[in-house]
Amino acid sequence: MTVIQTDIHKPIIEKALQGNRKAQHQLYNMYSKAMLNICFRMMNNLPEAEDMLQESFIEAFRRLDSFRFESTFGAWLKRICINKCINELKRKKVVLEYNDQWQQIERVEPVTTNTEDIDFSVEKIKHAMALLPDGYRVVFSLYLLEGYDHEEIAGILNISESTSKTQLMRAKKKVAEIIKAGQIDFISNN
Amino acid sequence: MDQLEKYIQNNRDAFDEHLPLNDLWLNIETGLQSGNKIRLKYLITKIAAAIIIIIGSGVAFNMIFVNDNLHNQPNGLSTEVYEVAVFYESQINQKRDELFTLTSNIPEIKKETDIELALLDSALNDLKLDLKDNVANEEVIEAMIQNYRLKLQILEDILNYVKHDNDNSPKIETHEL
Repeated sequence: MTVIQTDIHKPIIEKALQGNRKAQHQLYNMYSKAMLNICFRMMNNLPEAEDMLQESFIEAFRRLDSFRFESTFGAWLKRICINKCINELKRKKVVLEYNDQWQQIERVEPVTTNTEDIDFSVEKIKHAMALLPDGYRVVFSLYLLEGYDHEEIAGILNISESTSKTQLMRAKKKVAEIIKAGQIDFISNN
Repeated sequence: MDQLEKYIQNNRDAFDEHLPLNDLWLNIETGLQSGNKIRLKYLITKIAAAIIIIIGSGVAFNMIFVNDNLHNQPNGLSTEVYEVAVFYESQINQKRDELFTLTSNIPEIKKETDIELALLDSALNDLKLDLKDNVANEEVIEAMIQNYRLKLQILEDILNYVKHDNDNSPKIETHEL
């Protein structure tokens, strides 16, 4: 029977653990782009995302001995980046969870938008995401782009699963509305 | 799954548009090389600020140690001042012990803290020896208490920083999904 190695980069990680700078640089080259983009989606600001990326890699290499190969290195590193960003957002007193009043509005408002007639594009979605309130953008990114489920998001953000679901629905609705409004503007401008 | 979700899933890679600048790695490398020095930078800055304040109030501090002729203890301190000194010094020692126990695996913290606290002691001792022509009064006692409180505050800040750091760190171990 073949033993499946959890992380294909295990030899590099082990070298990096010993403080081998070349191995650490290799890991950085492999993961920095993905992590920078995660940080950017969390912070909605490139210089801040770069700061978070640097701090995350420094922390990851310092604490590499706590990585047990129970997940991929990428998944472990991703959580470090996300936690760094969330701590920074909280430090800046950014609101990540909207209160009951918002959720009550959700109950009376329809939370879905007809997306059939929307012409999606990556650029339009990214533009709309940048306009979302921070809490919506973070949940939207964690769920739709980073692949976490609501239980995981609830744990990461220390909110309830229902809040996570509500904020995702509202975020999706807002994104659709922004893109739709852009289409109307585009049509009316031509 | 709605249209939006489907679209994002089918075009996931296109959402990673930003490329890290080359100097980011250099910064990381520098950060790793300097090790805990970076983590202690903030603390050292605070300690350095405290030294300046202590030097400023050191004149008053020395009046007590050198010139109080009333109710002198064997070490030259008045009873009241002696009691205050004992109280604060025991508090400071307690905090210092707590910090060093908590950071026993990070020798840099003990080293840096010892160096900086020794600087404070040295600054105080120098002033104590230099100033001999003043008399003790309420303001002087107050200045001395301020000095002790400042030292305590520094140790508490370091402790809070270390405790906060420790609170955050175990989370990482559970982040493997």
